[in-house]
Order: sequence, then structure tokens, then C-alpha cells
Amino acid sequence: MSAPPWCLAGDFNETLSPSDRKGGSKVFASMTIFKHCIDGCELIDLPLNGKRFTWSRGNAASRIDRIFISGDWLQFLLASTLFGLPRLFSDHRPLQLLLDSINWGPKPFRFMNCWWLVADFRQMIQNFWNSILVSSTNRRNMVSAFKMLRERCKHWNKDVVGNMSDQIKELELEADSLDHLKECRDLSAVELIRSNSIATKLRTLYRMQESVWQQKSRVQWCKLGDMNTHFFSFSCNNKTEKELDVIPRG
Amino acid sequence: MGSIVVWNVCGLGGRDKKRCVRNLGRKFSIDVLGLLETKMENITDSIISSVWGRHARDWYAVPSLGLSGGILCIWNPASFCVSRCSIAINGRILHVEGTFTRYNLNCMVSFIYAPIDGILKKELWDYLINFKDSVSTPMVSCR
Repeated sequence: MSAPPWCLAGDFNETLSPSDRKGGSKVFASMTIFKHCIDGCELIDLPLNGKRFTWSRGNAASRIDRIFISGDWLQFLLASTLFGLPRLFSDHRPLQLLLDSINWGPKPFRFMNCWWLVADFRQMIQNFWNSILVSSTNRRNMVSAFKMLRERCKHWNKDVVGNMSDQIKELELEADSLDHLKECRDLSAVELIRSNSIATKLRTLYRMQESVWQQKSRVQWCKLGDMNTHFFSFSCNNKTEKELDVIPRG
Repeated sequence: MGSIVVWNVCGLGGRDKKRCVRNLGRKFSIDVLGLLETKMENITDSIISSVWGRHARDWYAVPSLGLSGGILCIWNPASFCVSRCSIAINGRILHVEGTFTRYNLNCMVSFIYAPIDGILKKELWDYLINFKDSVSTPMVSCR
């Protein structure tokens, strides 16, 4: 029989380090004893997101409320994240241990620069503005027009652009099989045209994909055409890690 | 989306405090709620309703000693299925053993309210280390 995953939550009336107390600088013996206890219990102290202290009275403030979890708890519920909630009617603030990953809500709309690389995007926008002009009587409501344009862009992106990496994979496969055929025999006129159009499509898709990564990485100084997708992808991931610092201290 | 919430409420008697807890439950989806220092000797079902609303719930309370201490644990039986509750160290700890049905995870959630006094605190730390050892000792088979 082994112990089940353990979560120890509450008011410990004790701090673990000097920084747990506002203006604190000394390590007291009682803190060391508490630390020994937590270490002895093999518990993990989760970082408190967004807040530094859990208790305050007047100008004094400290972090005396905590939620500890065992290592196997974290194994089962990897997304466990600790939050300090607003303090109301008590000197202590409620602590919340979120068990599932955080729901950040609906994705905000982003205009992707790579859309300009698609032949009919400009045409789509133009058609849209023309339709707006026709439908309203004497003046255009810009706010609602932009909202409509946003939806139009979203749908256009889904229908026309779709999943770029899947398309690239398919086209690369087709190009490769045509290449194979060429080794055995001469290609027909239709096949030659197809082969050329695949090359053109792929070139556009590569550029678009690169542009997406560049936009996501927020790198401003790199010029398109470097084909440095790997670097952009890396700086993207790195940024995400730094911004979402929810990895517990060991 | 589920969570465990713990809060030292410094007395659960007032109406504002009760409403505050109820709002907490409305705002955050809570599987297990631990309220410390309820300062209540008798907790009734109607008090539970006033802090948890009319949602499904089960609860277990450690009564306060006069005006000090008291732990109240309320949980949603649909998401957390409790098998055992036990009190330790003069009501300073409440162990709640149960299963999160969503993850099919059997676990132990312990709520603790530590004293300010250093000697009593040390007693509590010693208890915790012993407790950890006692639950994690592997069974030894003897021949």
C-alpha cells in the first residue's frame, strides 16, 4: 500500500523565507523548523500567481497561507496552479488551487500579414467594402463594418488558407511523385503544368508560413526571405515559457 | 474546470462573510472548499446552504473551541467523492480522503490551521512528519 497523492492546504502561521514577509530580511529558527517539516513531508511549495502575500493587517503583510502538494499529485494533475484571490472581509485571502489547465477564453482576432500573399485576398476586401457601400443608405457604420470584416476574414482564412502545414505536406508529396515519374518517362503537358503550379503554390505557402512565425514571434527586424522558420519558432516557444511561469519550484 | 479553495475566514458568523463565500463559489468552480477559523461550535445544514447556495453538497465540520478555530469542509459530491474524514491535533487538522471522479484520482486533501504559539506549532510539524511516514510505510510481508 502506498500513500495517495496529498494536498496540504491552510493557514500555517509561519513563513518559509524572509521574502514571505513584507520588508522581511532575517531567517528565524521557526522558519527553518517549518522548512524541515515541509521537506520531511516531501511536499512542493507552489508559487503564488499574481500575489506576493496572503495576509495583511494595516501595513504588515506576509505569506502565511499556503497550499502544498506532493510530487505524485503533480504527476497526476500536471496543470495544478495556485492563485491568490481578492481579499475581502478577512485578513487572509482565499487561495485557489486550479486543477485543470486555465481557460484563457476565446482567441482574440489577429490580422495575419501573410494574407496579403494570397492572390484573392485584396479582391475579397474590395468586394466587402463595395457591398457595404451599396447596402447602407447615406452613411457607413464603421464599427459594425469592421466587426463584419473581422468575421469575413476569419471565414476566408478558414476556407481559403486552411491548414498550411497539411497543404505543404500534400503538395510536397505530389511534387515528389511527379519527380519520380519524370525519371521513368517524359511528363505530359498537363503534368508539366501541374508541376509548375505546385512549385508556385509551395513557394507562396513557404513564405506565408514563415510570415506567420515571424508575426507570432514578434521579431520586427528580420526581413522576409530568410527562410528561418526554425529560429522564429524557437523564439516563439521561448517567449511562451517566460510569460507563463507556472512551473512549480522544486 | 475544478479547484480546491482554502480560506481563513476569521469567523463565519456574519451575513456579509457568508455572502462572500457564496459569491466565491459562484465565480470559481470549486470541488472542495476548506474554511478555517469558522469560530462556530454548531454548524447546521441551513448554515451550509447560506454559504454554498442550493447546489449539491456534502460537508464535514470540526467545531470551534469557544471562539477559536473550527474547520468546515464542503465539497461537490458529483466531482469529489469522499470516503473518509478524520480530525487530528485538537481539531487543527482535517484530513479528507476522496476521489476526484473527473480524473479517477484517489487522494488526500488536508486542511490545517496552525497555532501562533511556537511550542504548539512544533508539535503540529512533528505530527505532520509522523503522519506522512505512517501513511507511506509500505506493507512488509513476514514469513
